[in-house]
Amino acid sequence: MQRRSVLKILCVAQFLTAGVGRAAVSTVEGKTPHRPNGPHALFTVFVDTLIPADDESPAASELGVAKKMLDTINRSASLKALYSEGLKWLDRTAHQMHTKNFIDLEEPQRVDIISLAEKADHASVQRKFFREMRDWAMELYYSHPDTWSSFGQLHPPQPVGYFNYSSAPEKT
Amino acid sequence: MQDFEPEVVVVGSGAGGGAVAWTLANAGVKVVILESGPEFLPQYDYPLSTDDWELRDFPDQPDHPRYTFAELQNLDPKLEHLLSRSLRHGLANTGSKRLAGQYMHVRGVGGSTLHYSGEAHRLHPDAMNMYSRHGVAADWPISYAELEPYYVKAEKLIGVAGPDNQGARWRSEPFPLPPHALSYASRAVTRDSTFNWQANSLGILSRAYRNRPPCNYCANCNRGCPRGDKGSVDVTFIRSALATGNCRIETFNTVTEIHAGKNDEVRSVTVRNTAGLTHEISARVFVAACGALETPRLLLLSSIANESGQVGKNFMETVLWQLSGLHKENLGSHRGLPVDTVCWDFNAPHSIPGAPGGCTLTVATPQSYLVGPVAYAHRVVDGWGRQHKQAMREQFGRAITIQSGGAFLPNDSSYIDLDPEEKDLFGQPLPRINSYVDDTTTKRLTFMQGLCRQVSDEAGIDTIVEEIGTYDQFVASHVFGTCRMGDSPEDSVVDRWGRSHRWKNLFIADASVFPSSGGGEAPSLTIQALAIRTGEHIRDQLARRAI
Ligand SMILES: Cc1cc2nc3c(=O)[nH]c(=O)nc-3n(C[C@H](O)[C@H](O)[C@H](O)COP(=O)(O)OP(=O)(O)OC[C@H]3O[C@@H](n4cnc5c(N)ncnc54)[C@H](O)[C@@H]3O)c2cc1C
Ligand code: SF4
Repeated sequence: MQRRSVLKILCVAQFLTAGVGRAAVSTVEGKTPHRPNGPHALFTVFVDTLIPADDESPAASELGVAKKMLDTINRSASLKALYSEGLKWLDRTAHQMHTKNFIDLEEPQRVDIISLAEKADHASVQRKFFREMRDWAMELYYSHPDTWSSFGQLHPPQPVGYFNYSSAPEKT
Repeated sequence: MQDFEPEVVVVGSGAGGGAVAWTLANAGVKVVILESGPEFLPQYDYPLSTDDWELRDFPDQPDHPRYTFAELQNLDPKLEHLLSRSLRHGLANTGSKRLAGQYMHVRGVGGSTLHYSGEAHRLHPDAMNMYSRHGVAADWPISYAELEPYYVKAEKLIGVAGPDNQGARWRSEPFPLPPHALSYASRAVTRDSTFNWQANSLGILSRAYRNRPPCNYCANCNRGCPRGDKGSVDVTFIRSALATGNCRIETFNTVTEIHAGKNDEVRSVTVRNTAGLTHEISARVFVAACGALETPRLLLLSSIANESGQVGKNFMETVLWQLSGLHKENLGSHRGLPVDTVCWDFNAPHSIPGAPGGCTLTVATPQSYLVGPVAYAHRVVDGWGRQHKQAMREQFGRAITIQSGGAFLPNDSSYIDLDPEEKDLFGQPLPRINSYVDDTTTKRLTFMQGLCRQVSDEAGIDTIVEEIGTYDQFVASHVFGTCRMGDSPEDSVVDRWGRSHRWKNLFIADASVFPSSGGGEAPSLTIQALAIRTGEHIRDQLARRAI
């Protein structure tokens, strides 16, 4: 599926144009569990900071989220441009604040930097990068069945449906 | 088609076209339906069993623009309370003008009912006399009592499930199927409400019926029902029409012109398909059932049936307020039916002070697509990182949508015309939407907003995540009125049977004939009842050789 059509579904269904998220910053200690390497390590670390592993569910990279995004990014000139500008901004900011690459920072430091992107001016490249990648990563992550067990009774709508729909949901 | 000489050509296979074709085929009349879209294959085209189900919507993806908008009105700073907004995204429209959103519809066998939520409503009887009672819109040339037997026929064919009593909308026979049980979520929302709620009447099977299985409450009707229990026109009217052997359907065939013949009769239609082939089809009778945008467009393109100057005029659109919020408890609200509960308390046309035309109230959580974690991550749960994951777990299943749909009154600035510049695949002007939300509508919307907020408060919804309305953005799934039905050829396009006042063998059977919109009722059942009535009239006229 093309990136645009995914966004369209969610906008049209709800009459919403793409908007801006409120700031809600995660401030938890810890490092990304698997430190990725390779040419796209920086992007993978960024995506895993948006969606880290916790006790109940895996990190985005464990479900191949960053890889799927990269596959699409590589096919789209405009996404590629946004991607490289966004990554450049992350590293530049990491150097300014901590004299390190983004990938070498601790999680709380990465969180601080992403929060700056989130709160930046609407028209800024870092804000656009954050917004687009956040929503996209969430889409890919939460459409993966390995994330569903923490939502109790959730499965694809068919073929079984929800015959128990008129009872209270089972406790997880 | 060489071996099949149609007596009647029906253009369009949606709510109206399917019902008129079924009526005629069932009576032994040979009918051909010309449909510009494809046939969808439910098991294949609506893949609700795959892991990525939430990333897909109904599969009708226009490859070419189908309509345009004339410039829409300036927003009034005094009506700031009616701006759509969400906690995550802020205002939906940050500009100074109303946004040109979407006319939600489907091209294909079954038309827009493929995408619909299955609500099957009769019109409030008083909503058919808006002019004589309230001095607005126009009266219907027929009464509720005249339409009632046709409602019964449509309900039986579809297998509508509904309650014993719906107040003013009296019935001569019970619904063919018992109502669906309310979902746990809808019960929780309506339990402490001051309003009166009941099971919605739905064209969705509560029991197996006529070789179709009962619903399994997967909550995703708007993505297309792969089981065939939703009573969309393809699995009801058209399936039954084809089974008679008297009906053929030609997909990817667009009618581009209706040709006048002698003696005020239509001679033929020009049909074009996507492979570039063009041909002409003759018949004794022609029925336009292309929906309230495309039917007036076809008539305007053909310069036919517009003796009154009313073709395209009186355009009426969806008036909607939708509030989504988080209930304090996990209700498992991703399960069930799109719109299972309704309140008719404000549906009579006099219910809203200063704004004639009523409204409905419904609990419509699955219809608002809040049925999976992707929608929650986009629209409900803000942020990212560890806290976001935790919040997703805490909030999933708690989202509730309360919706109100209301009347739209015709006004001089709301109409469909031909776009002077933009063309379709065949080089013909696209229909252009001219839409204006007037003061009465904004008053009604304000009232509807208040109702939704009251239900939300009484239900213990503690966080409102979105409020969306149609004041600041044109978004319509219910459109009507553009070839109004009436007794006078001076101010209406078709008569009480759906026949052109001048062209003896030209009929219209779709939402464009509505003289008034109703007060938020879902329109398909009324379109179908009218179309069956039109079909029976054509049958009788053909039998008497009056056409
Ligand atoms: C998301 C959604 C939810 C809805 N929910 C409900 C609901 O719960 N209950 C309800 O009652 N209504 C609902 N509706 C509205 C309902 O679907 C429509 O009001 C109804 O289908 C309109 O019927 P129609 O016959 O006027 O047009 P349509 O059903 O739109 O059919 C028109 C058909 O004509 C074809 N056509 C157009 N032009 C040509 C041409 N030139 N040549 C050949 N073919 C042509 C089109 O391809 C289409 O198939 C919903 C609609 C949507 C989009
Ligand atoms: S809720 Fe019922 S009618 Fe709707 S798609 Fe699911 S099975 Fe079909």
